[in-house]
Amino acid sequence: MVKVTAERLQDSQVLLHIEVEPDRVERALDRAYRNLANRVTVPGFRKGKAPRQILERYLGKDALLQEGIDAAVQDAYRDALKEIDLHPIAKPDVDVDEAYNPGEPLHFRVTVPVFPTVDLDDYRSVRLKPLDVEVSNDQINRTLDALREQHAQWAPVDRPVRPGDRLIIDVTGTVGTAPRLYGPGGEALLRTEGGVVVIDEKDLEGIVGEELDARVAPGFSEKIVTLLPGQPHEFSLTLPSDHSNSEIAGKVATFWVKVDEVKEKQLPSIDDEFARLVGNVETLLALREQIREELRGRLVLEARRHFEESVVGAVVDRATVDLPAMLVAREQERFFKRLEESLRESGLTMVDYLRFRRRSEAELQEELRQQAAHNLRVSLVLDAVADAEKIEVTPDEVTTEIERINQQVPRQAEAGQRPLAKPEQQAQVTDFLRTRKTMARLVEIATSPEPEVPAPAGEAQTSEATPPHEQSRWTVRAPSPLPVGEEQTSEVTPVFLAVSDSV
Amino acid sequence: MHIYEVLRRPIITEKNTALNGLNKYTFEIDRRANKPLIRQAVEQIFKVDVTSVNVVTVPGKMRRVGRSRGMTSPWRKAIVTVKAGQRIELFGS
Repeated sequence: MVKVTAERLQDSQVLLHIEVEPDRVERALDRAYRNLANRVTVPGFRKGKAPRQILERYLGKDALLQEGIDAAVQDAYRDALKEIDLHPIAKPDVDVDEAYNPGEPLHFRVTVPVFPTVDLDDYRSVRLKPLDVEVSNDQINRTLDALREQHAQWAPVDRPVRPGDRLIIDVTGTVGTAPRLYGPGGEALLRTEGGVVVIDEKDLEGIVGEELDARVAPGFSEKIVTLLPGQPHEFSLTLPSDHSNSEIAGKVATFWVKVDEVKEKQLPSIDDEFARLVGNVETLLALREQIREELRGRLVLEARRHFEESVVGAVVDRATVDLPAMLVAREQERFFKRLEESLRESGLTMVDYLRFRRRSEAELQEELRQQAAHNLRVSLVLDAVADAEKIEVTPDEVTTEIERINQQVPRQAEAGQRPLAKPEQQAQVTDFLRTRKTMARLVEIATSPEPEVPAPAGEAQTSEATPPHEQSRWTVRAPSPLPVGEEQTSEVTPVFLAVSDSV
Repeated sequence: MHIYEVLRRPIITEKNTALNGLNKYTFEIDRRANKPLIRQAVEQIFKVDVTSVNVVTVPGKMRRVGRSRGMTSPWRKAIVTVKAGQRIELFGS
């Protein structure tokens, strides 16, 4: 057996002093020799036939010692954990003492993080008031306006161009030599001879104002207002000094424009007719009611999510979590990898991303670290609450949830396998359900009128959990985690599509 | 011939390591050496008593590199038996 003394450090780490008897070390060395001998061919010997002394001389004594000691350390570490019933959650830092002398016991020290203790404090006294959800007439009106915009018609008109019109135009623009040769219709035959072409397009369609300015040049729209359809027009315009093509930025360009078609925006009037068109209801009043309901539905969902978040936030704020730095670092690393991955998928490099976010790498890492710490804290606290509240997930619930997800996200069944049947996935779903139930419970507590909610029997406010499946506990749960397929399904009606900006 | 020129190197192979258990130690030796010289050399260098010396000539072997043929050099080895209870450290166990 091994001799262990344990000492609790900060940050949920434990320092172990472990002593291994010489006998045990010797056995480990012997195993290491046999192992090595089978892998190494010493000249003059068949594999595995070289005696220990010869092998030691051939490889150097240290090689064997290292192998043996490593094995002995690992072995002893495992036993030590069993002896003092410790459940680490990550690989240990091992520090082996001075060189080993045969016949003497081997000493080494190990630092290892254990499941952090979570002190929930009085999470039961968290009381928050849910936000009232109210849909104002103003919101409905805005939604109606947005709908009206969506159903606008463009009608060709024969009149001078006005701002807001939709045009189809032919346009060329050059810096330097201007168009010179015109055809009988007034169109330039040699339109872009010499100079630098800013634009040369036929049948360009756009709305007079920002849209056309963005596609041609700033100030362009202003110049074409009052033009008549079919009438060519030529004018010059100074390009902005921050134009993307530095060769022509700030230079004067000559534009030639011919308007082919002017279309005027015609908004439908808001009446029963309109209601029938967009809402499939008979009257405007009914449409308003329909919009009200949909807005309310969205707001309620939003408010509920927001409320859940604030409840969880309040509980997390109260709790004290002794978070091991090692764990945070690992989570941070994971975040970083994931970010890199998603950047790669969208064809960006980390350097681009950093420039875009105006961050230095160190700042980004710090940001990720805080995020990691926060996520870990939230998931640990929720876990502790789940333990304290005795929240369980039955296999039935898991099965139902899996069915539900499968229905929402049809996926190709892997050859002869039921989707989401893998144990890890089941564990993930279980975790997710547990979190959701925990949050529901917290919301229940937070909205309960009683000042003190009775705890379930055998309450444990501080829980040092013994994780059954250590790895899966460490997948971080955000306050409102949504695995694949978990989205509120909504009846998609035309009205629903319109409200996104107006909520 | 100086006695330090007699023994060239110990032969440490699976077979010869097995012979160590019978107090027999094998050396590659200079081809000019004879049994009395070998005995003298081993006794002086390793401070042991030699009970017998056997000498073998290891014949050279045919070697071919592409089209050119050749022989490896023949060499001589001596299997030296030392007095029971004594041993030569150089050979490990």
